[in-house]
Amino acid sequence: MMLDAGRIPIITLHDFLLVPIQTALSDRLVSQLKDDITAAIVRVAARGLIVDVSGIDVMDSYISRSLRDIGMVARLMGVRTVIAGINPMIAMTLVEMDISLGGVDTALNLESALEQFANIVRVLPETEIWREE
Amino acid sequence: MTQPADEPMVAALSVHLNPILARAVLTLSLSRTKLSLERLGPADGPALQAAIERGLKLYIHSPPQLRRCMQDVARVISGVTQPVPPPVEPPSSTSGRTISTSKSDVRAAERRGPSSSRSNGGNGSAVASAAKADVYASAVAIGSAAVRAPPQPAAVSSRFKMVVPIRDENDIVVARGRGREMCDRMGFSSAVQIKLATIISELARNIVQYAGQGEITMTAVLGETPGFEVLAEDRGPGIPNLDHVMSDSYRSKRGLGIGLKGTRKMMDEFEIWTNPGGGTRVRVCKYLR
Repeated sequence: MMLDAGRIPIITLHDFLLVPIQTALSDRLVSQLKDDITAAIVRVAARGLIVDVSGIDVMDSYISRSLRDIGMVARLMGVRTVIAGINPMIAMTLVEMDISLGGVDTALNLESALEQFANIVRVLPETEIWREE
Repeated sequence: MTQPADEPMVAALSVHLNPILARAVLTLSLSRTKLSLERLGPADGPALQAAIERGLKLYIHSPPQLRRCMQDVARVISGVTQPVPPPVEPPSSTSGRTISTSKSDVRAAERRGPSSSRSNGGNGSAVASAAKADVYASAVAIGSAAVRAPPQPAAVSSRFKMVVPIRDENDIVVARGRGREMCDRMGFSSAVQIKLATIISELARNIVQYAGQGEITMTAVLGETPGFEVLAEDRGPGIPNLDHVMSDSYRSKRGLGIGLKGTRKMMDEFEIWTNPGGGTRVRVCKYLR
């Protein structure tokens, strides 16, 4: 599978989606990601969504709002969203700027995000991971 | 550099040397060879000069070493074998207080070197600011933000400046990346780096979203109060309802409506000038403590 450099990959893990953001987000990437995630939720009938933001450079008001929107849209579709890995410096900035993620769940890191989903799906050691096209 | 007596020397040499890199020196990394400044002699002058014009980076390990480093560099560049005597003039007359041994070299470098844009502290910028004064004549008071004339070149000992044109959303990422790099080199903690990158992102996005294009000027300010200054300028439609935008009840369509408010909260200095139909200019500064 070719990895499109102009897109954030969405990994399907059993019936939930893992979105690792490991790059500086441009507005175009963000809006593309919104579309891709909602499409992926429908396609794989996802029950959970983890957005790992540990590699993000900054979370300004637009990016934060977009992540919040993604979480809210997913919730309306019956999918729980956890945003994982907000680094402490970014967290402090968000607090100082009065930015809230509007009730979208967060987790310290990917592991604890996965634990939050433990009651939804059990992650087996031999979990097969592949990327969406 | 906190002692006023040191300023002229810094002012003279910072034309050559990236002052944001000047927080740290001991070793010069001269095309991958590490050289001790003290071991450089007059014969190394041309090589050093050329290296500086190529963008030689200086690493100074602590501010107190800055002065000694500057003296050494001046000595090497100007071919003077004796250490440069400290300046004796009172600290108020900044202009023309360059040390005489390197003055001509500095000016020559200013004409031909890549650092010529740094001559901002001089008259050219003052004229430019004066020309813009009428555009921004209708400054609007925002809370505690000062209302005064558009920024004149500040009386700081030296500056380093980077201008990032903002034409589309990709430039937002570029601007905040460059800004963060500059902050890193200046010695800001990573927490503050992220804050400043976030601010730059907000300001750049406002430009793209509302004005279409503009530019972000990032300045490393040295002197009594070293800091990082960001100036975002555009010639867009301006902000007709500035009081409302800065109030707590405001929500923008696209963001959270907290870009400017959050920016004001996080910065040590915040000023905004807007003229409906004539553009917007936002200046913020974060001190390096």
